[in-house]
Formats: sequence, structure tokens, C-alpha cells
Amino acid sequence: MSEYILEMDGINKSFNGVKVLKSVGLKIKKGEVHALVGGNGAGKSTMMKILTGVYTADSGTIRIGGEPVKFDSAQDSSRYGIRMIFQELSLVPTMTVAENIFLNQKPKAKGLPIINNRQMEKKAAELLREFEIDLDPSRVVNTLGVGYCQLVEIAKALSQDAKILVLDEPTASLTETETQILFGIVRKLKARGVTMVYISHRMHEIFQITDSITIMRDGQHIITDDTRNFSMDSIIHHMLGSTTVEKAFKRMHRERKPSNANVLEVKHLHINDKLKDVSFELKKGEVLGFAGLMGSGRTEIAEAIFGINPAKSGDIIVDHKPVKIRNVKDAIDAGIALIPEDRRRQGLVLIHTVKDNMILPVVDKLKKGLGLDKKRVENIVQSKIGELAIKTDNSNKVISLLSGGNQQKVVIAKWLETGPKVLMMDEPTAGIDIGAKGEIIDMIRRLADQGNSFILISSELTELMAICDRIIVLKDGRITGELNGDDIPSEEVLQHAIQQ
Amino acid sequence: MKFNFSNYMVYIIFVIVLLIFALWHGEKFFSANNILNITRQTAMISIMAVASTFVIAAGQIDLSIGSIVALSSLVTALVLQSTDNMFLAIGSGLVTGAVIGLFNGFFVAKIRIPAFLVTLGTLSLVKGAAMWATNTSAVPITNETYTQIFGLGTIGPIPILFVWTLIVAAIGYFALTKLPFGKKVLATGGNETSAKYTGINVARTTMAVFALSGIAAAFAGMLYAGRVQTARYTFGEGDELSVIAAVILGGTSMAGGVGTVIGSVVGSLLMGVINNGLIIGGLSVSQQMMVRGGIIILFVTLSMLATRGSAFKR
Repeated sequence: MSEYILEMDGINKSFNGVKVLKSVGLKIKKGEVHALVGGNGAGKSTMMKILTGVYTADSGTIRIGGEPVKFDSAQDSSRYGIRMIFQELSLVPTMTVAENIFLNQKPKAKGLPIINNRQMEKKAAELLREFEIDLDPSRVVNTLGVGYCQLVEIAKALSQDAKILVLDEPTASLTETETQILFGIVRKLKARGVTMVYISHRMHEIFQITDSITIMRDGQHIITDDTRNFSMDSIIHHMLGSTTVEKAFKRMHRERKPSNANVLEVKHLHINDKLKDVSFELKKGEVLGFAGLMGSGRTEIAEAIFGINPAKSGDIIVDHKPVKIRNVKDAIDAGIALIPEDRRRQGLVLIHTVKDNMILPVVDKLKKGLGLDKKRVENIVQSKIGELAIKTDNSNKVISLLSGGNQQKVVIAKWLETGPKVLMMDEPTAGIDIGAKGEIIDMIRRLADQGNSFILISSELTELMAICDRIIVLKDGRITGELNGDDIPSEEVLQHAIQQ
Repeated sequence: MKFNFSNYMVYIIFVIVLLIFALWHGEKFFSANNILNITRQTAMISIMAVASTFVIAAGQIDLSIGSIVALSSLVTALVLQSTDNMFLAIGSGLVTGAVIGLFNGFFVAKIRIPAFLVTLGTLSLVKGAAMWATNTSAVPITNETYTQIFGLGTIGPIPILFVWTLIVAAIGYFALTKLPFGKKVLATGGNETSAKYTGINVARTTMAVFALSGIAAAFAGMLYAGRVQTARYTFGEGDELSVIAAVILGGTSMAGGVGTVIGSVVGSLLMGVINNGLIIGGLSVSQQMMVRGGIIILFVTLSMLATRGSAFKR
């Protein structure tokens, strides 16, 4: 019996003649939590889809516990106890938690082909209790938040015996509390000898929960070692193969200080029962950070100012002029823009082209004669693709085919084109690889130096610390603190301010 | 851009079907006279299909168009009968369609009831109104200027009905591909949430596409009436299904966000050609219906397989 439970060797895979995996190897010891790290397009997901039988490798071998195997379908890999939690949730929203967990293997009444609901719910309750997930198995899934859906997804994967569990960005939509529940589950499974592959862009999680790390870049295996032998810098270094991005996360002195003039003043905004009295101001050329846990009201404030859910009362003043914001159009006319939290759902029309997405907010201004001014459209699109270094073959490419980072740049481009006085960004680097993260941070810094004003909402404190002139701390709908960007000694101090 | 077979499916099928009937029936089918006849027969479906392209591209559906055809043909004929004022009659007919369209749009966009249910209700409501208006009797049209412009006339050898089709198709094509309005319709159908976050008035856009659909159906009703010099409550019966089939065959996505006006018109012509070819072939009405149903399923299957094929190759 081999020391490794999983050995993938010399895996090659091409799509349309493009090699996405070049003789990649991956070895994982039994019972360890193994991080798989790499930028978007590094080949992590393809590798895992080959492991779970969704794709078939062009060449290479897979051995489970030393025994060579061949997977042609997801069922094949499932038979060996390999389970994967997908990023895209695979639950049926109209069914209960219990029904979802046992979707493929409903407990039958004795000798009859009838589903025994009571027994099913009992078994689901046991399973949930075992992993300390506080959830009623008879709840219908569409009444649950995204975080709990993810936990149900995991319970579903565990309802059948799992030997190797692949977690693909499991914490992307979880709150801090839910993340801790998940980590509890991971530790429990580890104690039982389940091997896990953990894919994440979040460095601190990798250090917290994994035993060893494999880093991939451009479809190649770069390094595998114990987690304790890595530092955050060394991981980033291996992922990028260069040092340009590390710089982006270092705090730099601004080339140009924010002016004293307020570009935005918010006074006594009453948004909902939680956010009753919100006041703050933003100076011209300033980057103002909003720090706080999920549910602290960060997103609600931005959406109220942007007219998605307009405030009930209070004043919004742009460039010393009070503005009335009843809908998104009012906000755009007042010079306010929002890069929304959920790029795929709120930011883009995924089935449309880069060009169509980019011109959408300004389409009314591009009229010429009877139709659209083709030349101006082309100019806008080409100059933005150049300015923001968007990687796409051409502007008529369907945007869902771009990487997450490039999709996000298109969202930013579409709002820059409206010439906003205030640009709000809600988690602009969520779910994109670290290289693109660095580029976006750098872009905000550059634009702020040109006199643009930003409100940056982020859960990534390193990001806030790298570029914000000021950081407002929110808790339960109230502003509980304000920190000067230059006076934050360490991430712990900011973390403490948020958690207190 | 890469050649995407599925985008051109309807044109390929159209040419193949033309060839088959030309070989099968020869002169009887492939004569100028017969071809022009087909364009005359399909004009109303084509015109409604142009507007329905907007509705379906916006992620909605309008089942009430057949009943709007009936009611507005009667309204037009009645106004014409009592005033003999053509402009007033046309105006009344079109306003009828617009009002019913806005009625649909209001319930879909503001009250947020699924379009399928709203327009199904409207279908019955308006159909009933059309029967009630004249107690199911037909209304003759004697105004010859009207019947020439809206039905029987020709420009050279070209039937005026086909000219109307071309005009409506040109307007529709332009509006969907070259106007901000078209971009807004496609964005609303492609991702309503994102459209809202981009400052598009989603409710207004949705109401607008239903109004357009109502107006197009009213116009089709006026053409039906002009062509047979009579308005009747039976006009347009079942047209909604032909229209939706034409639009989907043409390549517009039932899921919204993708639409092609030219494809819809070709889809409508394709179904007209099939009808015509089967009649010349001497099939009975019942046989025609069966073949037509089978062909629709076959073609949509082909088009879906082509789409999926290209998705795999990616």
C-alpha cells in the first residue's frame, strides 16, 4: 500500500488544441488537507474535473491507494469515494434540506418503492447534528442564505461515504461564523481519515486549515511542500513567478493627497430598520474604505446611495449640491457609480459580448442620427481595453469566456465611461486570482492619484490597508469607528476593530 | 468571429426546404406567382413575429396576439363603417393594440405576474370582447382605398402585404441592433438584475415590448381585414403559436437575451413555404397539420443540437 491515497501522474489535457495541463503531477497523502493554489487559468479546476471524472485526461495515470484507475464519468469516480463540492451550487431550491441531501439515495419504506420521509428527515438531522450544523432538515432550501446552502451541499456530499473530498472555494460566499463551522467540519473529517483537496484564493485560510500545498501556474506543477514551509510571500511568488503583484499589496505613499473639498456628503441616511442614521463624507481624490463583517450594512449603504433600494430619509450631497436619488438612473445622473458585489449576477450580462456590456450604461449618449455612433462605440471599447489591460481576443467575444479578473475589469470599464464623481466598489476583487487582484488595486491607486474618488467595500483587510486614505468601520448598521489609513499598524488591529 | 453553425440554421434549412419542394413540384411550386403568393400568406405572421422577437428576447412571451388581431380588425372596420375616415379607423385599431399591450405589460412589469399567465388571461378577455362587439357577426369593409393599401394592392408585381412585411422587418431589425432601445431589451432579457444595476428602467422596457407586440398584432389584424374586405372575430385564431414557432426557429432564445428579427421573418417564411408545398403536394388538412408539427420539432431539434455541438467544441 502506497503512502499516497491519490497519485495523478503526467496528466495532459487540451481543449481546441490549447494545452491547459502540461504533464501535471499531484500526490496527496492519506488523511491530509491539501491546498491546491494557483491563479485563474492555472489549471486547478481542470485537474479536479479530471479527478472527479467530469473530463477525461488526454494522457497520464491516476492511482487511488496505489491502484490504477480510469474514470470515464462522475459515477466512476464516485464509486471510489471521491466527492466534490462545486462552486456553482447544485441544490434544488424548491426541495427541503433533507430531500436535497438524499437526492440520489432516498431511504425507502421497507420493501416498497416509496420514500419514507420521516426516516429521511431523521437521517438528515443526524447528519447535520454530527457536523454541528444548526439547521432544520425540513426547511426548504430557497429560504436559506447562500452560506447555509454551501453547508447543505457539503452535508449532501458526506451523506455517502467520502474518501477524498474536493472543496472548490468553499468559503467564497460564507460569513466568518459559517467559515468557522466549515473549518470545524473539515477538522472532524480529517480526524476520521478523510483526505481533502482545498482550493482557495484566501491565503489566511490556507495557512489555518491545510497541511500541505501544491502550487500550479499556467497548466504546470510548480511545487508541493508542507504548509509550514511556505510564507504568504513565497506562495504569491510561486503563483506569479514574478514580483510585480507583491508590490500592489504594499502600502504606498499617495502621489497626490486627497483635497479638502467634499465630493460626497451623506447625512442621516435612514435606509431600513438596521441602518437608521448613517452619515459620512468622501473627499475628492480620496479612497474611503468600508470595513465590517458580512451583514454589517456595508452593501446596503452603497445600494441606497446608488438607488437600488433608495433611502427613506436623509440627504445625499454631491459636489455641494443636494441630489434626490429615487432610482439607479438618478444616481448615475448625479455622478455616482457602483461596481456591484456579485459580478456575474449584478454586474454583467454574461451571454453578451464585451462590447455590449461595456457600452450599456452610456448607450443613450451614443446616439447619432437614427442609430448608434459606431465609431465612438469602437473608440470607447478599444481605449478601455487598452487602458485597463483587458485580455480578450476581440471586443465581440462573449464575456462569459473571459477570466474572472478580466470580467471584473469590463465592469469597471463600463462605469468609468460614465465619468463618475464617486465610484463605489463592493468587493471588487472577490473570486479573482491574485494577479488580477493586484492589477485592480493598482488601478484604483492610479485613478485616485488622478483625482477620482472611491468608496471601497472589502472583506480583504490587506486590500483596504494597501490603498485606503481612511477606513470607516461598520458593525450592525452603525459606524463604530474611523481609522486613518496611515495609522494602522497591522492587520490584527483592523481585524480587532471589526470584530469588537 | 468563429463561424457558428447554429446562428445560420434557419437559413440553411430554408434553402434545403426550397430545393426539396422545387425538385418535387417543379414549376408548380417554383414560379414567381406561387412565391409571391407565399409572401402574401405569411405577411401577418411575419409582422407579428418581428414584434414577438422583442418580447421573447426580453425574456417574456405574449400569447394574446391572436385575440388582438381579431378585436382590432373589428374596431378598424366598425370605425370605418360609421365614419368612413380611414385615418381615424387605422388610429383606433392601432390604439386598441397598444392599450392591450400596455395592459399586459403593466401586469407583467409592475405587478410581476408571469407573462404566460397574464397574456393567457388577456387572450380570453380580448377574444370575448371581439365576439361581443358585433355579436359574432362579420363587418364588411367597402372603402376601396383601404382594402388596396392594407390588403389587395400590389406595387408592380409585388403584393403590398409583402411590402408591409419588409418595412416592419426593416424597422424591427434597425431597432433591435442599432438603437439603444434594442440594447436595453437584450440586456433586460439576458440578465434583468444586471440591467437594473446598470440603470436601465426594466419595467418601462418590458411594458414597451408588450406595447410593440400589441401594435404589431393590431396592424396584422388590419391587414387580415383589408385582404378579405371583412373583419371577423375568428381572425388570428392560433396565430400566437405560429408566431412563437417562427421566432424560435429563427434563432431567438426562449431564455431571453438573444434575438434576431431577420431570423424570425425567415422562420415565418419557412413555415409558409412548408404549408404551401404540402398543399401543392395534395396532402389533406389533417395530414398537413401532422407534417407541420413534426417538422417544427425536427428543426428545433437540429438547431439545438447545432448549438450544443458548438458549446462542446469550445
